[in-house]
Amino acid sequence: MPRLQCRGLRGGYGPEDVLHGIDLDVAEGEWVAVIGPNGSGKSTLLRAVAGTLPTRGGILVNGDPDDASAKQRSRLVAMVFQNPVIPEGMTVLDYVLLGRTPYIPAWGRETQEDLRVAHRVLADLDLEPMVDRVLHSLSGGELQRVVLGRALAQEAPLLLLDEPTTALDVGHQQQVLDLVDQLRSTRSITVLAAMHDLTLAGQYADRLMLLVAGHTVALGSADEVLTTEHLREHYGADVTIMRGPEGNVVVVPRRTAQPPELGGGAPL
Amino acid sequence: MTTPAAVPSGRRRRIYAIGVLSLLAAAVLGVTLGPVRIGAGQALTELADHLLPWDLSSGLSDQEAAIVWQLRAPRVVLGVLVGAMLATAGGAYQGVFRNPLADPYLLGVAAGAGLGATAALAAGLSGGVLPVAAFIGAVLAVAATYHFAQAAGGRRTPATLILAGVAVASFLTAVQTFLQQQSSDRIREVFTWILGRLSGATWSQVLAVLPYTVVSLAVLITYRRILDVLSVGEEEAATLGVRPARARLLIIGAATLGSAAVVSVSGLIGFVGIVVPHAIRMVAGPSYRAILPLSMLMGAAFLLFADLLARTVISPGELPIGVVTAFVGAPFFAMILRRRVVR
Repeated sequence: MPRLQCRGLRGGYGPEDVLHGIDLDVAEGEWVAVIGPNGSGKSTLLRAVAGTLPTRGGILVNGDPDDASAKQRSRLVAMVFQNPVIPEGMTVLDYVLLGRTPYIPAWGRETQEDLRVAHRVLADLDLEPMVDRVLHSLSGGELQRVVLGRALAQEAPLLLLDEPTTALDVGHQQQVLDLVDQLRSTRSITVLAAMHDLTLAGQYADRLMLLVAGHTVALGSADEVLTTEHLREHYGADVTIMRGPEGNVVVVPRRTAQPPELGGGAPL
Repeated sequence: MTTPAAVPSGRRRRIYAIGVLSLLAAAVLGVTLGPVRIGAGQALTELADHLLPWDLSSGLSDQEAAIVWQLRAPRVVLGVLVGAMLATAGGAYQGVFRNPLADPYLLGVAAGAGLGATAALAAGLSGGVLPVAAFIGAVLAVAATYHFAQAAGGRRTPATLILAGVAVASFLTAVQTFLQQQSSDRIREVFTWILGRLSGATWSQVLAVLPYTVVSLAVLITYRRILDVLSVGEEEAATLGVRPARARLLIIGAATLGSAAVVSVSGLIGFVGIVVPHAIRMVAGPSYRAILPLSMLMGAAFLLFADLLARTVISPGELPIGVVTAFVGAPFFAMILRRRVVR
């Protein structure tokens, strides 16, 4: 049984739908990257699956229908937002412990088990030395790992990532994506991630879903989805598709404007 | 600035201890200080005589005993309830709206209570009806705010709630001013009430507000962890299994009911709901799990000390307590704000 099943999924923020009937199956341990131009509905799709948007059509996580309670849903689906709200003055440990909320009654407090899970997650993410640090004192890369840590503390089998590496330099991009990759093999976590960087999407995801104006226009391997035709038609981009040393697809935009003449003036 | 770190739990325990000790000290001073000086031991024995099943003799005259039990004790207990309620509700409002300027009067409690009180007096009803009218006015005002806050998409957001609160409060204040202009001979009592007062507190007032404050404080203290979850914003909180709209309704409902109840007897005492939670936040950190219980303790102590000043500074006369909380609260707040920036 697929971990996530979407059937004819429709929904949006107001009276107009952003998603127009999405069908998608994601298997256990699979990583599907959602790509598409700005405004195509990538974040909306993730929010619909996370249950924060009113939707029509079916979403099943682990075979559970989406009318499960908010609490039940949050044990099945965890989401890392593109621009998470960072509460002022909160410590790393307290923030990661928020991820245990699905297991704590409204009037309750964290148990030893919750603390154990939080510390394990922090150790997995190499964050143990900074448990008592305040979030605002962390670097961008550290903060992104902490945000991921909160989602992992939910121990949900399905992890949604909305542009998880947009704000990061290349080293931290690699670190975060490698980490997610590793976790899905060790913990068989299923990943559905909206990704801007097409090369990274092709490199890390098992399959890519090209979403345009709320419709799926391509779904398959990087070779099938990342074609010059798709990118020209849907992104309006002129790109060269190359092969990396591991046979991975590399998308390189072409420079179309003529470079200005340099150095043609008088000698120094 | 050095790297900020968490507030150590040892410091938090010390703050709790300071809170308990100041509250006890303020309460003891509250029953002993006044135009008639009564020794702490005698006053406490007199209180114990009333509260405990044993017969104890305090050695006080009947008149002094009446001053302790009929005048000062209910005033202290009412001060504890009002201070604890306003400070806790203020902290809860700041959390639920994620807005440092939020106070218990944000959604129209003060304007509604003010109009209720003014309308009752303008209609020629006796002063005894004033708390009931103020309470009804406060609850109706917040209900109106909630009703009007439905945004175009059919959802209430913290921002639309605050805007609706501003609109409702402005309207009710205008009506209140008009009523005052129309019946200027009867409104002196309204002004006394608007400036806040604990004088004239009775045990029946204490008993009237007690159920509301106990239930409200219990709900707010119980849901303090949810306030921490809401600090990541409504949408993220929803993915953590919290229903933000429901949690907000519950927290606002509890804070409003409790505030309306205490305001109806004490009048509009300002500053407690803003200054106390912020002062706590600065020393004990941003977690509502510490802010709410500590605000409850410190709010009670702060209001008792303010009341001590109100009744001793121009003794035997009394200052309105709302004036004292403003005069003490504003410089105190400026001081911790400065200290924090300098550090």
